[in-house]
Amino acid sequence: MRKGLAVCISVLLVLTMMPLRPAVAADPIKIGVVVTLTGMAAQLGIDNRNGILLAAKHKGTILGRPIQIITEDDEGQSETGIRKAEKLVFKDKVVALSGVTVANVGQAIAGEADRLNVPFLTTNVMTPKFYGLHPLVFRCGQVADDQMTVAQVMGILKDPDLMKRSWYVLADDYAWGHSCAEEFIKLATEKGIKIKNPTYDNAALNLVDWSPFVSKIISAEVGGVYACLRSPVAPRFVQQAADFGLMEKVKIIGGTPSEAALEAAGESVVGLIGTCCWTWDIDTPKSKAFAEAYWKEFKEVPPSQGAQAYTGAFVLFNAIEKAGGTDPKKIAEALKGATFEGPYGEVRISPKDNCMRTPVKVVVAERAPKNPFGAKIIKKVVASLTPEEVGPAE
Amino acid sequence: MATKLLELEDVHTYYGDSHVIQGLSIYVNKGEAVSILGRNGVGKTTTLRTIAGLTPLRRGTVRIGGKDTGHWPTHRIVKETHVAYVPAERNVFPGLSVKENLKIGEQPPMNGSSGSRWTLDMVYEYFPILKERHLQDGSTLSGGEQQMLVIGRALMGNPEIMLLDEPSQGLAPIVVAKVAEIVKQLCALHGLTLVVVEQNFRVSYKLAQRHYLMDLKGQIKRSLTNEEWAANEDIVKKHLSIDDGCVEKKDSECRQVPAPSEAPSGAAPGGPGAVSK
Amino acid sequence: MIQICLNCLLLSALLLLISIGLNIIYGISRVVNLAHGSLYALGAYFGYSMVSYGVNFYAALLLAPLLAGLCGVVLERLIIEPIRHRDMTYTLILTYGLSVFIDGMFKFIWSDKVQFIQMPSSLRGTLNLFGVHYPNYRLFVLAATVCVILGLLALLEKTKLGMIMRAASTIPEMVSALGVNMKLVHMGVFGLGCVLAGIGGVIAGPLLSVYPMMGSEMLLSCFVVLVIGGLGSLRGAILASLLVGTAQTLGFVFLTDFAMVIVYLMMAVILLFMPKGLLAEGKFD
Repeated sequence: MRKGLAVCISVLLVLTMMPLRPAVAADPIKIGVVVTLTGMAAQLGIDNRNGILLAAKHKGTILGRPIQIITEDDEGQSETGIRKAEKLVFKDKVVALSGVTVANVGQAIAGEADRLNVPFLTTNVMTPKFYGLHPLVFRCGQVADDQMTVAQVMGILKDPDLMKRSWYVLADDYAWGHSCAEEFIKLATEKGIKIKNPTYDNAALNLVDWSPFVSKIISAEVGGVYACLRSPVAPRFVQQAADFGLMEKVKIIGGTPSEAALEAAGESVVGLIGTCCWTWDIDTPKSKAFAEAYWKEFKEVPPSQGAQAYTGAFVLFNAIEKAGGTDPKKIAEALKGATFEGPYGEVRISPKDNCMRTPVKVVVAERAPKNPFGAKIIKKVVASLTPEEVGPAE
Repeated sequence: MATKLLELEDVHTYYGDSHVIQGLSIYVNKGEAVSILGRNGVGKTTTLRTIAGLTPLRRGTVRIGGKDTGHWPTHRIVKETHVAYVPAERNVFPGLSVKENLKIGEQPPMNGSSGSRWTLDMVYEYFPILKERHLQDGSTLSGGEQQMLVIGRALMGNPEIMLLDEPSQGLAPIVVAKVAEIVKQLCALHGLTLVVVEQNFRVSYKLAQRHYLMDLKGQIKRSLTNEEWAANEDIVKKHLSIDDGCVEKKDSECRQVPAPSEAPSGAAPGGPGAVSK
Repeated sequence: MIQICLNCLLLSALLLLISIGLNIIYGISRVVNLAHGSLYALGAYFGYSMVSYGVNFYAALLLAPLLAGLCGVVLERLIIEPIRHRDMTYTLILTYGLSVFIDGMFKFIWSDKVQFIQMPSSLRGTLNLFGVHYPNYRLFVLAATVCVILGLLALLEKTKLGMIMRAASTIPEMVSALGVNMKLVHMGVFGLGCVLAGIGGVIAGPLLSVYPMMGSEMLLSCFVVLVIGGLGSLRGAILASLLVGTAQTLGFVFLTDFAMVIVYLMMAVILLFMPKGLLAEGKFD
């Protein structure tokens, strides 16, 4: 019996270790994609990867050469991320790195930029530390934390009902949550928004039961909650808050969860306010085309993170084309100031700090109208912000 | 000839690497009570454990009721041959009440068994103190009461053979006498086959009709009946090396094994001295 | 105030539901099952699949844990039984590997997404308790936990099987000498532990969401409960869950940043003065 099991496990192991070798024509342009496919952030990683794969499919070829995307899972760990990046660059000989789902991995890989010596364009890392970090390091697709905070504050300012309310601030207890909450409190106070707890509450990362915070919010008698919670965690908080009937009295603003997370949480997230670059609610031909193509390819509700990664990857492909080859310096040169008309309008990489300027939408989760994706929840656009409004200034 | 209910043939047993029993052969007839006498560490307890399947048999055969049980797991031996093992450490289950300690031993009688079926009330009849304390945690009983409890627990399984290991261990002489008396009655009234291991050989003498003298590594030096024992007290005395044994042993243990002839006749019912009246 | 008390009780109930199975398996079979969290997650995933295929929530609450228990029995027979007589380190390493394997399988079968088990509509909404609105589902969790614990106590205290389990936790050899097949007892106990974990998983599903690492994340808290309460003590586990659940909830309300510190501090202090936990290991009661 044990022998049989051992054989089964060995076979499984061998199968999983076998590299996938798609039949590719000679001499493709190889792009390395590091994303988180394990753990809580996995959904974002999957959306990112899918967006990049779709961009490669739509782009077809660069300089007449096929595009080969090689994906690696960083498991959300910096060490693993560096190892995978090294493997992609030194063994697979990729000409550029892209993707990266979580900030710690992004910073770790960016820290090795000199040694890796290929352009690294992240499609999802949000830390402001990426502004002007390294000549070879870029951000395009996802906005930065500071841009998101500005957009959220603008969202409140643009809605008189939200402006009237006083806000309770709740943050994940780690560096990102802290800076996110502090930035919001600083900016909101400047703009005259009432903050109930300027010292804000930290929620432990492994918190499963949010009721203590829900009770605190109820007894604080506030009109709104600003929640700096990681995308996979936010629906759990919102769901539990909804159980307590909080959503009827209180508006919650936070980083919007992925489409998949909203679908999983269902009805209870209705009313959650957030910001994003793209949602399938955006009614432009390019947006519609992307949504349909994504649905056709992956049979999943087209996600914000997918569209963002799609945009970022396209900018990278175009830059390689413009550089006329795979020389890292030339690609980096081509990326500076590059523009792209994508699913959510024109994005541009600032030559000043290598990071994207983009229009941003303020969205509210609502019950979806009948739609081809079978989605129950839609991120409904309630306000559009221009790249100038979101910043940062150049 | 009486039928052999229990038969060990050239049995070898190990504890880890140490060869504890080297070629033991004994038998017990149906309805017979047999004792194994020997000094500490000769393998008496191991013999009982081997019969019950608690210590694995390495070589040889163990037959109970004609079935070759040598390599059966304990629970099968107990279920199919109705062997009841009463260990020296008694193993009353702590956390279980006296009543639960008895009920856990409950088993239907063996097919074709002649004896009456044991019930809780029958056990209480023999050991009224257990009825009195039936709700008490078994582990809070005194040593003597615990001994009664584990004998009662064994009886609840309607045993054919009882393996009794050191029933007198740690008990006051008066309690020893009482326990021995009850076991003797049980054997007589219920046709129980008994294998008893005892340091206190007055108890062995009282309970058993036949005795194996066991030496190191489970070697049987000889077997003798009560009549032979009464005739040659010295053999047993010498076998147990009571005199030089006491040099190594603690005083308390020595007092438990007084030579039969020294035993005060009145207080030692069943001792060889008392029998030869 | 009532709300805070109920919050304390709820977290305690969840901790208890999950750690109790771990405790029973250790208490009776002396196996530290590091895969317990994964079996909790397995129950949650079974429940999730059933409910999304239209099975009634209450039926899923019954069936999914039984399925998880069945998986537990198979795992016990195939993997744990063969190394039962070896050193405990073997089972530790093996069950750890098992948890990694099972967590990996979740990704294959159910993907890495965060899911919720759909709450039955009858349990939505809130109940007015002395002027405080409290979610129905949370009250249901409390009631269900009480039922499960009472059921378990009845099984242990009132049935022959329970008697055997309690006896086996003290002197297993003597139990087999009374004609009980200890292999079956170990298998049954492991299955029972997994059923309890599965119940925890399904009950937590609508509240805490379902994702591959949910079990492994929960396992640490379970061990805190186990260590504080005393390994293998049922009453200890109840007491410790209440302590940990209350300390954590109150900590978040009044001290926010130090809530988790308090829990571990409490564990350290208790271990310092009562190295075996509040109710020491030994007999399983």
